[in-house]
Amino acid sequence: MADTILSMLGSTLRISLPIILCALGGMFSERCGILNIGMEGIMLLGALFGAIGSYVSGNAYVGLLFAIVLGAVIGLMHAFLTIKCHTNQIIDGVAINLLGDGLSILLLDLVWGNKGKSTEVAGFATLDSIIHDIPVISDLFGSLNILFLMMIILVIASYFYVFRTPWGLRLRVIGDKPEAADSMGINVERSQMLYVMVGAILAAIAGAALSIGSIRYFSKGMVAGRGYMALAALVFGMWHPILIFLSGLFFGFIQALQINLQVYDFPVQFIQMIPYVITIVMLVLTSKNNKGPKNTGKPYIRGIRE
Amino acid sequence: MEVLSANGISKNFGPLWANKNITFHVDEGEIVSLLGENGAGKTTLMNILYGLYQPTEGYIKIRGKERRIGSPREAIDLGISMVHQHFMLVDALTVTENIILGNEPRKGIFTDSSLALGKVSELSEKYGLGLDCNAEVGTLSVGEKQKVELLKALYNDCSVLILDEPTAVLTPLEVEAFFRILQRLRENGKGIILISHKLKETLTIADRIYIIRAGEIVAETTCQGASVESLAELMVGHALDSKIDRNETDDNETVLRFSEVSCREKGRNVIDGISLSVRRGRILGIAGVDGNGQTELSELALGVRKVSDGMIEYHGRDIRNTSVRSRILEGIGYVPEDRQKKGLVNAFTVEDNLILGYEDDARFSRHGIINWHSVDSYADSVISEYDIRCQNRDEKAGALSGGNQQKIVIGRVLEADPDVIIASQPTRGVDIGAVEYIHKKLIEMRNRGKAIMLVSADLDEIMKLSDEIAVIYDGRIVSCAANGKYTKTELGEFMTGAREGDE
Repeated sequence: MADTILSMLGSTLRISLPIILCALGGMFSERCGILNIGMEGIMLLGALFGAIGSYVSGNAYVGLLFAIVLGAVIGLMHAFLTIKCHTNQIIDGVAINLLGDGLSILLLDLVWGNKGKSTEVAGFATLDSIIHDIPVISDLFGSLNILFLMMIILVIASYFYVFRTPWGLRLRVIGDKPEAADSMGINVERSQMLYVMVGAILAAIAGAALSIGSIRYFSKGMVAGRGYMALAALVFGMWHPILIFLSGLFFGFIQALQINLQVYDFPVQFIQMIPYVITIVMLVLTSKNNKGPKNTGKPYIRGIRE
Repeated sequence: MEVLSANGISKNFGPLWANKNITFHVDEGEIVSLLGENGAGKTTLMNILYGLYQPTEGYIKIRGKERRIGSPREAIDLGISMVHQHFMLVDALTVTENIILGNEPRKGIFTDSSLALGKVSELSEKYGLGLDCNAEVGTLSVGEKQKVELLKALYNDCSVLILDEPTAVLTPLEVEAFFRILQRLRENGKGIILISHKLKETLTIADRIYIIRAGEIVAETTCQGASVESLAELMVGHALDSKIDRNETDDNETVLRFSEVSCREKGRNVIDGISLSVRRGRILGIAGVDGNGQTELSELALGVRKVSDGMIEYHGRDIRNTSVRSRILEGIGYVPEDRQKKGLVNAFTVEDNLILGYEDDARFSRHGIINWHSVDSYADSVISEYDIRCQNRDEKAGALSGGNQQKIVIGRVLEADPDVIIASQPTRGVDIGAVEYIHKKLIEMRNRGKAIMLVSADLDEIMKLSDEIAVIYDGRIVSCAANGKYTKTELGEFMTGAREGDE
């Protein structure tokens, strides 16, 4: 029994990693006022580029670099379209998701000659080799890798950045009242461009954590809604790094629970629904008093008032 | 000593000259007022001083030196601060966070919060603002928010302070307090530029007045040599004849009657046992500080809100359960207090806005099809009748000045020939030319036997137009008497709940 619980907690940590990373990316994007529901598509492409980079070089860090570059490029695209061209942020996000679906299959076919799944690629080493002698700890953290440590550092750093630094204060103002930031001489557009890119990069790393972090191959549609779940974790975590971390863990736990429940004799489709049903229930319960940055979703155009 | 001067500033947007050859200056320890109607070019000029626009011609001198101001940041660095007409504050952040924005004290890479708090509190004390610098701005009153804006300017160590219509949202008492603070700033050597269209306020506070009309400075005067009438004439460009005779009729039958009406919301009576009669050929003024139930009262009459208790009768008939639609068709005309939110669709044309809500009226459509020919001629006639200044009926309503937008709303309602007119803050944010016009129209309607309920926070307006004045406070009518029974000060006391009694 204790073993089951330990392994379940271990998988909770593993599963929540990409959700937390992606939600953290979403936080930067939405706090600066730009919605990015294309997180799902960016994760998928991040996973693919991570696998490609790792495949061509045999090194997972090169894969990570590929994913980061991919994230920056898509982030720049989303930023340019929504901030400079004032396109609808939702539509643009949907377009990114559609692009992710199609492009990932095309590239999968081009690189590996297979439309469903890549061959095995190099992945990050697990922590198991370092801590496998320590009981409990190795059960909990053994299957994790360097990306998990990176995520913990990012969560803490983001917290301090957002709430303790001048730039964090400006970020909070921009998403809430861009004209106030503008009137104090802060360059709204440039900041937004930057944060949208940061957000997309984090989403792409989250994707890479799936392909070269845990399972070491890319398969089509492997993100399977985690990008959307991250957006839910973002709302549930009230756009706050630490709370996002906790809500990401919660979503990871629900997933782990779902996997463990599958051994019982119950239609598996229903069990697989559990995380999504809980996501909806949680959002309904919490979203009433849970308002994000006020100006998110609207372009900022100097001199235009509603 | 002169701190700032504008020298021959001109600015055009395409063929339109918003500013023409504007020259003025402000000295240390002086309050200078730029007085002009909406659309006269005041805001453009301020945006030039604040680095948001570049002048087409002319230059700005700061302490005698010619300077180019390329951005708000550069303006702030040169000691120019601006308090905008709309608050530039984030409700979710604290007073201190709002104030230090853009110029945060640092300790390493972190914000030095305790130093920030110390600096801000010290300034607040120095100028007697009495703000809790740790409070979230969203919890503050409008008057306190205005103080936060001032403090923001002071924190940035400004020597020139530009105030764009700073009293637009303040109550009379808050205005007094605000002016006391401005005087203290003047004593401290700040040069203050006050943009306003309010004549009385300008005369109380300003040392010198520049009058700006159609983008040009047409006069410079001191307060000693000026009166409300002379300033108004200079602003508008011609004499104002605000006199319009009121005729008295015997037929003052009640058209709309509230009897012991209450409206309960979230467990609280937002309207608490109000009885009022709106009568033919009479203007009933409802005076009160915003947020004391006047919005709810108007919306109860229109049917947007439902009565929890009591009775509303229209022509003696219970209308509590009739729809908004039917009330409008039966002759209840409503001029909403917030024309931007409830009165207009900015993205629609002037013409579209002129028929909104009446589009299925027989004047405009048959069998569900709009007859654009008749709408076109109707729109043209309303535009000329109500003096709505626009390029043509197809211009977007959002492009018009506040006064002209308000004329659209008023024209639309009055042209439908209602029996009762509920006019909520009909002249808020409207220039004096349009104010005079709207006042005249309302009295004309009264003389034609319409029953009018005028809701306004502006006591001068209430006292000028009303036959009877009711004061609303905390959802109740605390006083209701013929106009003239109480002085302005007494009405002010009723409005703030300092005095209560005789209905």
